[in-house]
Amino acid sequence: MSGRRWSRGAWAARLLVWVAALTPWLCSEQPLLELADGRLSSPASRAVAETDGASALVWLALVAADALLALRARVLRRAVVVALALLAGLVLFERASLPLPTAARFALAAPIAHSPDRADWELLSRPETALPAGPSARHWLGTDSAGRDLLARLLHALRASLEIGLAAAAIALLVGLAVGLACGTLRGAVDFVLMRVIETLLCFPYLFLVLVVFTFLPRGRGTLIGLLGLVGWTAIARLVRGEFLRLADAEFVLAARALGATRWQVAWRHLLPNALTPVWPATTFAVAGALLAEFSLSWLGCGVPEPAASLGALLADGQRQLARGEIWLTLVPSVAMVAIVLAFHAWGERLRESTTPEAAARAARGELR
Amino acid sequence: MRFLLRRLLFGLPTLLGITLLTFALSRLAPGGPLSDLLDPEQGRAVTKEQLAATEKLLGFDRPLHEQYGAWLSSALRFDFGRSLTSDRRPVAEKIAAAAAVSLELQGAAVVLLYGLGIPLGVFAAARAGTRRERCLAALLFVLQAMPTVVIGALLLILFARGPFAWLPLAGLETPGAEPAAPLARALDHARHLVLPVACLVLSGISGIALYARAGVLEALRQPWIRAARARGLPEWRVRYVHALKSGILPLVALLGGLLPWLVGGSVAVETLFSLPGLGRLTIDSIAARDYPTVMALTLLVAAATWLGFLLADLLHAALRRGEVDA
Repeated sequence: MSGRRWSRGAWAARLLVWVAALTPWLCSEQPLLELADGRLSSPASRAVAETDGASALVWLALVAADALLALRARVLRRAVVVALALLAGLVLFERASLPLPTAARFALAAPIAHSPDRADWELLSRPETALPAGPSARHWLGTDSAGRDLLARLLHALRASLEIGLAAAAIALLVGLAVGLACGTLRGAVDFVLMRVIETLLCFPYLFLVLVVFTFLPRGRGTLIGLLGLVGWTAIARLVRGEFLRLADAEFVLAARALGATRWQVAWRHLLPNALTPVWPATTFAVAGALLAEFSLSWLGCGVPEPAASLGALLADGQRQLARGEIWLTLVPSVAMVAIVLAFHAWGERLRESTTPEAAARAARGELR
Repeated sequence: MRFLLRRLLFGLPTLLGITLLTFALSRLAPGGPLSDLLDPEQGRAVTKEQLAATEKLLGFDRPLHEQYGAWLSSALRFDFGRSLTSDRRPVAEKIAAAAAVSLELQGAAVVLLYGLGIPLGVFAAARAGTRRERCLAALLFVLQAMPTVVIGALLLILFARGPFAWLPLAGLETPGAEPAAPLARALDHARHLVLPVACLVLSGISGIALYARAGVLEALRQPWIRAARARGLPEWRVRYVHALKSGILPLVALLGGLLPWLVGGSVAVETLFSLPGLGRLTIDSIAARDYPTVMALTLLVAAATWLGFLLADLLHAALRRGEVDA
């Protein structure tokens, strides 16, 4: 992957991931930093730690890894990682506060100072307020019909959706790689049985299967992630297996075998790295697929239960206002969803293009696209 | 012939797996399929004795393999028992009623999808690289990223008011309309189908057009296309007969997904436009924990997918053979 330029889709997808990772600090009712009674603390971080500390830490680790991989300048890299580590520390030690010998008071509010699931009572108490309120300086995207800030809900929904999409795709990637590796290396009976399992799973429409199972199991984020991951691995397994079969007689494999490498050494050290080329685009499409499935499920009311915001639930909410002629609440989540899926599709499309023989030939001629 | 036998033989374990998984799905609920009845929060508390009696009545007390055998043998005769909802109608009857709605909807959509999608793909391939084609490709790319639900929501916005408000937004016929002449009723019915079918077509067309474009683009680069042009064939014949014929092979693989699409109905569209089709029936049955109906629907869709894959493979093989012989 190194040396290849990031495409626009990849940049957009990464931007979304960063926004999702920092959402609890981007929009929070609590101040980011507060100096009171001689102590400096971060109420926003404490709120994160109390509600969903573990997932916040995973998000921070994810973007820290991204910064380490992508940023060239060492100073910048260190600065970003130190900042993220600081946030992680604030989440980990939720009661952390710094004693300062001063009587000054000071508070730094979050850029979007609204909670995603509490109504804005100050706005509601004004006599001229009509719900849903349109965009204003106070609420940049307006509020929903219950008086909750739409932008805050949108960002938290983005975080929830991406969390499910990325985690499900990661599970699908791991299971798919393992099964593809097993099929391509062991062949014979193992291959036969696993391929029949894949074919069986493929016969059940993705959404249908998730819908049926999810209603019978306890609802929750973990169940949904596991399910979407366990349904979505088949495409990746088939890709890996195909690459293994195709490369089985390649010269570098013969060379490795001639040097005395065992079957698993050949598979792990030589075949797998080469088989990964078509897997990366498939993984970005798997993320998009999981996002779409989660979106449809939560739109149907079968997703992660309220009050957690999700894009599908936001759209369903908005559609209830359609009859009254309110189209804004339908438009905003729709556009957001399309933009997210578009980013991952564009990324995958470019990855796929760049791995075709044509692209390799272009690169060899030194042409840029 | 050998390929056919091999393919059928390999397909049988898959079919068995489908029935096993369908059966397993319905027994997933922790505490057994009827545990929902014990939930006092839903206001449906029954006594343990009542529960045991119900389980005995429905056969849930027998060992699992016996239940599976009994279910499979009656399913093979298309007997799916009675639904667990209060109306206790036979499942087959319920499915048939819903299938009539879904088949009409999906059938119309399929005709339009292929009728519009393939020419669109050929057009895009023939004009590859021009500005108009790039706009079309971008449009298709955006459409592909749009969930069906979003397309439907945007259609509803567009047609809810304004100059387009003349299309009905829900249902299959105008409520309260007097029994009019058959022609007028058919027209009313067709008007109700316009938006759902448009939604289905818009959500599916990019896949088909992009596939057709890729196939035809590849074909147009081949030397025999230049030969056909050199022989003086009209351009439309080169594109739509010669290039399309070889470019259509990847589309055949898509045909496999057509059958489940036809029989499965669309959950999103039927919910959006309040149509009583199979997709809606699925959601309602799941919500009501109506196991016999859910199992029958699952089996129906999965078996249709299995058959679709089988037919697509056979068709693919037949077309490939023709290509090799020629």
